[in-house]
Amino acid sequence: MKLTDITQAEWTTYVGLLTIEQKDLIVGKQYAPDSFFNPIQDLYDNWVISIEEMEYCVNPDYVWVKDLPLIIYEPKPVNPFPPM
Amino acid sequence: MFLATHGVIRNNSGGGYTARTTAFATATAITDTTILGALNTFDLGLISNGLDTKMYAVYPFVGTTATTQKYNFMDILNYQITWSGGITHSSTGVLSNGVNGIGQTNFNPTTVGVSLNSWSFGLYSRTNSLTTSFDIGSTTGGSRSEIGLYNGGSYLASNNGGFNFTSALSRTDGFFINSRITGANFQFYRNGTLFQSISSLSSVVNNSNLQVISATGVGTPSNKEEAFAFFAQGLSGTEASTFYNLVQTLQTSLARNV
Repeated sequence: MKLTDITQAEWTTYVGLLTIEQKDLIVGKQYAPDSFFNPIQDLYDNWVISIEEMEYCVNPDYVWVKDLPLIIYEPKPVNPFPPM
Repeated sequence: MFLATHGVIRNNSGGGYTARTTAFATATAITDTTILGALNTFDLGLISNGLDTKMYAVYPFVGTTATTQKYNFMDILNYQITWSGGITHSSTGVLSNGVNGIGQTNFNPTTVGVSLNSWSFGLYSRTNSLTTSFDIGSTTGGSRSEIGLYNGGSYLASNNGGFNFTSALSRTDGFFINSRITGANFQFYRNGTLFQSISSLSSVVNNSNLQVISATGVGTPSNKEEAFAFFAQGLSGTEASTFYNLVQTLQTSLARNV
């Protein structure tokens, strides 16, 4: 599954799958002016980025993110009351 | 005299913008006179009501890009937002994807010198959705200062202390203010009207960078579009009402009020 295979209504369902090396390449980098990549880990500790980062990327150094394989997003459980 | 002392600068059309509006226009490169006029009216209202000196940061989220929406209207050089992850910026505000889109304000209440018992913050949400969200502030840093617009049927509200659930809510859109002016309790307002006074002792000023469209430490961003956010000294009930009127006028002028 690729970015061109999904509709905008499906953006929240999918994320782009990164290798660890790819994650290291984009951490702290801008995908668009004043917009930074924010790779996170899903439920299975895969490194992923959002469809928005892939779709909105205009940085020529990172347009390769548009070709990342897509997986269904399964988030880690959230603890709304972390230690202060 | 009023205009002179508040630095009104004549614009090209012959009107006058405040110094803050002019600085914001220069930083953002926004030339839309509807936006600038609305901000100018808002600023004049802050000044005439004595609210401008209470504001640490105001984010009007105008324009349509990450760049225009990162600026603090009160001081364009400080507390600019660092956007990361999946975010949609539009003329109606800023919306996280609810996955990893966050706005780091670089505003740390301890570093700024916020007083323990004079602290307020809030947001204008354009989304009515009864789904869990953490929408502004921080849950770490020695104490919590946050607003979660929906959590199990209530608002989640904290102010330099522990967490609190409010009484049952019905809507998550509107202008929400969380304001502490005493050590024993703080007040939670929706659209300028007191929703609940919450008995909660202040403990320590939060010592972390606060977020918008999320809350530091939680890990799950908001799913509600924000059209305004702010950090300020504590606001009284009268001030909260006045502030709401100014913000609502701003949103109405921009045709994005709820």
